[in-house]
Amino acid sequence: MFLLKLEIEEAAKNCDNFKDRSTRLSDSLNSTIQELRNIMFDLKPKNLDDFGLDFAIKQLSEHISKSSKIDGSVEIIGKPKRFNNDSELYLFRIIQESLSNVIKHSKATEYNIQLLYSDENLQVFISDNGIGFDVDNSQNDKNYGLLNISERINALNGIMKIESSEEGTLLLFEIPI
Amino acid sequence: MIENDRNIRLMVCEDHAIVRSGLIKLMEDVNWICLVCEAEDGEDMIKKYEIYLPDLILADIAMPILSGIDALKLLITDYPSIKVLFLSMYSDDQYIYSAIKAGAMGYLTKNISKDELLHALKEVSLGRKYFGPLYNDKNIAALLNKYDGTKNTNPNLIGTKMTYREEKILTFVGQGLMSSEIAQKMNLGKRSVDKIRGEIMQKFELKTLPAFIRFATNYAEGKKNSNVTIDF
Repeated sequence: MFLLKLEIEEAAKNCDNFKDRSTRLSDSLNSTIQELRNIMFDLKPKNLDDFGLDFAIKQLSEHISKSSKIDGSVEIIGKPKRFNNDSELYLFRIIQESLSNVIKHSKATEYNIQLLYSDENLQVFISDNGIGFDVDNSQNDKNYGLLNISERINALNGIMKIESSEEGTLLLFEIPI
Repeated sequence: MIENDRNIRLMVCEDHAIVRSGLIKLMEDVNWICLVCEAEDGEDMIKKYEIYLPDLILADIAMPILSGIDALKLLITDYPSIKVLFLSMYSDDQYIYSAIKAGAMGYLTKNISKDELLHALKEVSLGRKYFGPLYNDKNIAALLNKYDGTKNTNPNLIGTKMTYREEKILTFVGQGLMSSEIAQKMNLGKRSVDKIRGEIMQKFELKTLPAFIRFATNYAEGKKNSNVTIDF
């Protein structure tokens, strides 16, 4: 951050090579953003430990509904179970990342998250009424984010399924309990 | 202190020793309270409860090893009449909701007065719930409603019939199967599955994909629990 500040000050003094400098600035910013992302991924929301995933997700969704125009709902079905601390945080981040994809890319006006607990697994349904995208096109930017999510799901021995059309997208995780 | 019938046998469960001793000191001169034991985390709370069987537990929520709420959830299956009054730093709705769902008899925040604490202890010991002046029955009902999640079945549509195929597809969707998987299972084309999905949405006036998924999961879950076909 300090480096960025110096760069900006330098650039302001010397407008001639601003293009070069702005590329450097943008590179530094990108790596800072990535670093911050990594740090934030490891930070735990205060309510996750005390109340588990369901509440943390409800609160996340409430927060999103307040700060964006998108209408969200969260529903818990079945008898909630607690995972170990690390898995809970992991799952929370996966759902958070999925939601942020919905908000950034889907143009949806409505989304729904359901956590469905059974004796064998937890199923998470995340659906939206957005524009959808081509799931098979791996060049797609959105698919890069999905790849990230799918790797994290794999790490929990879970599976991810996705279905997308112009009526919206359904993302489904199944995590063994 | 001599124990007699009028005394409430109390257990104090709090992980910070200084807060715990403060609480105990506060109640020292109250003649109807008899402190029987202290616990310093959720696991300790369970262990001591089973030994001393106090009439009432005054417990913190955020504690190491096991939170007060998780401890209550475990205890309440064996001791359904257990009385726990939570005393927490947090006043967020969700904490109160969680306490209620776990089976707590009361909830107070740590900024209350001694008088209110004693009042709450008395109420709870008499088997009456106490969630502070802000939470009367009506507010609690609203709180439960807010977090329980709203069921999405339009009552006007009860009686709407589905074909065997529709029922089957709706159940599969609710179980987490994608259209392509359903197509394979039912020996249909994916397009046919999507078409039938569209027909179900129309029948039940489900306007968006999230509404449809919500409907399907609840349908499949209802079927699983009742083990009979639900007649919409």
